[in-house]
Amino acid sequence: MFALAWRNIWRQSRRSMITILAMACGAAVCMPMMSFMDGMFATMFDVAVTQQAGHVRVEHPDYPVTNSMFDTMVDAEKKLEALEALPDASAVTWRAYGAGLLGTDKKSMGAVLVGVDPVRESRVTPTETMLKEGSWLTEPGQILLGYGLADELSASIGGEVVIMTQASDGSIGAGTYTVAGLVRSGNAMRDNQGAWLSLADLQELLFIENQVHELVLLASGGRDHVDTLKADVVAAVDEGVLVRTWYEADPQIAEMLKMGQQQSNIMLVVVFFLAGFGVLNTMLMSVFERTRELGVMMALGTRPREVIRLILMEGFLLSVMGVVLGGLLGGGLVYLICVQGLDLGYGDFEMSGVVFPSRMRGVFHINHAISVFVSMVVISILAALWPAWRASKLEPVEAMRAD
Amino acid sequence: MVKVFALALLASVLVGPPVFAAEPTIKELLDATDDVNRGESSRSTIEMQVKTKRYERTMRMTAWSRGEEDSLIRILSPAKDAGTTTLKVGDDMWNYIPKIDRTMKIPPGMMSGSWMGSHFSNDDLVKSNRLSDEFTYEKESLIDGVYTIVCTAKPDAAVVWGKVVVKVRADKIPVEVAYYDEDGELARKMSFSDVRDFDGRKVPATMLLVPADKPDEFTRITTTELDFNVKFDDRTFSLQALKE
Repeated sequence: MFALAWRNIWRQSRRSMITILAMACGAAVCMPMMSFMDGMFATMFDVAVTQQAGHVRVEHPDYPVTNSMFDTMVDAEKKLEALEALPDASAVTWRAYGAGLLGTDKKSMGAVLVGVDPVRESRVTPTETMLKEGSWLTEPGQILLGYGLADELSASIGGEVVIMTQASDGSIGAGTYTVAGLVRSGNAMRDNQGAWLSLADLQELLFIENQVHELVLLASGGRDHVDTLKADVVAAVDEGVLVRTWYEADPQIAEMLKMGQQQSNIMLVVVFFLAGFGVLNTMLMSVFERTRELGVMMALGTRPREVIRLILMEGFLLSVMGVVLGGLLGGGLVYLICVQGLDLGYGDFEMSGVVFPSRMRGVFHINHAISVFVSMVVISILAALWPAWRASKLEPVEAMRAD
Repeated sequence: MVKVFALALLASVLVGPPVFAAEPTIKELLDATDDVNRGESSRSTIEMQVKTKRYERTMRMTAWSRGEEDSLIRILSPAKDAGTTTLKVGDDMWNYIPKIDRTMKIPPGMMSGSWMGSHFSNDDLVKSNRLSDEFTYEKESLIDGVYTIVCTAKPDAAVVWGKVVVKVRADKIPVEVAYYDEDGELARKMSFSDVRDFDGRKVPATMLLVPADKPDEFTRITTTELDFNVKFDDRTFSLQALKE
């Protein structure tokens, strides 16, 4: 049966080749596209969720609305301890925020002050992805500046900056800090206005000892396990705080990610339909052409079920060849996109506050290849069903009379 | 008997309007309101009490000012903020913080921010706009020697308020200034009281600013000393002077 199907395919070698090539191209386009789009979503997720929102976050109930320095959680240490004991949390960090006037000898500007725990923060935010130059916070009195802010202030690593702000008791908070590094977080607002200093330094500056604005957790199981983590967190912390998952905290990003997923699904469906119609067309043509031959086969005792199997086998072989060729082509392209990246030629571009580098890299998931392969083969077999069914319904006598 | 006497006194105050050489023009009244805390050149000691939902604090300061262009304000107490000094020259403003021995210029984007934690903005200190220049004005009423003047912002005026309603006594002492935003909503109200004689001039010693959206909060400035026509040299309002 296999040999017969194989031979049948190559009887019309040109038509079969075209079908195979069409499918191969479909697969070769789908795979890099999926890789590229996933790369984009991963960047977006990293910037918006991993670096900022966390998988699950705990805040003062009013803070998301007011963004006020005063809406902190007290007894931060106790809460942190409770959260760090959760087995479902792979990392926990705490942060405080403030606003102030940041200046060098030459210039001063308003800045968003982010107080981070240098050690804990580095477990949540890979520091090497955030730092553009210089080093991470290692000792008190150091500060990291968003590279846009540093540029605007003509501040450089090793230089000194001054912060002046209103402390929580109404007095004037001020301090001098040494620039340890420049940050390129990918968040446009923060890269242009943000300044990171150690949590202890910021708490002292703002006069908010043992208070933080947020506690941020990552789930051990990854982003698909945020709901269980949230339930754990709700049970672990006292009442009077707001516990949210990343998609509750940032529905816009969640919506964008969902929309992007839908878009790539739609694209896949379109490509698969094209491939399916290619197979359908090829198989229908070959069944029409072989009406007489099939009639003879049936007259000689081939059962309709076997005819169906033969046609389906032909469709299957076509799709497997298409997929193998497409897999090679697509795999090569995916490799290039993952390793070299793809320069879109726009320069760095911004979408929803996330800055994407001009040269975007894709990500490789074996799932991409598998989903493309499996769906192409399945679609091809489905597309061959109708011609196969038609062939099986042939009346041998009439079929043999056909031209 | 005492009661009758008191009533009689009250009646005479209400009925007997003050006598003036000439009735002041509306412009004169507005300018007097603008100048109440500016003056040609002065040195004053003030107390600023700020009450917000979160904190309440009182600061004592010394202020030097020359016309509406230059001023220097230095905090005397509390100890934590003592020595912190604000210099204003023209439209520019600097803060000096002794704790870190640094001077910082306030960038344009932060001029609308609070000055020293009060309900006054940096702009309030810097802007030397005159009501009579930036607004069209009209006398609404004259009741018991108090003029009510409605000032409406000129279409091209660079001011944050849409309307300002000034209540000022015929003797050019302001009573109340109400600021409305561009939508006509009351934004804040400043009232003057406690008129005292400083260096031969009658000045309301207390100025109370209440934001309309937070009626429980206020900033009260009380003048305890005020000398006019003080002599300054050019160094008084310089960056060097900030640190002294």
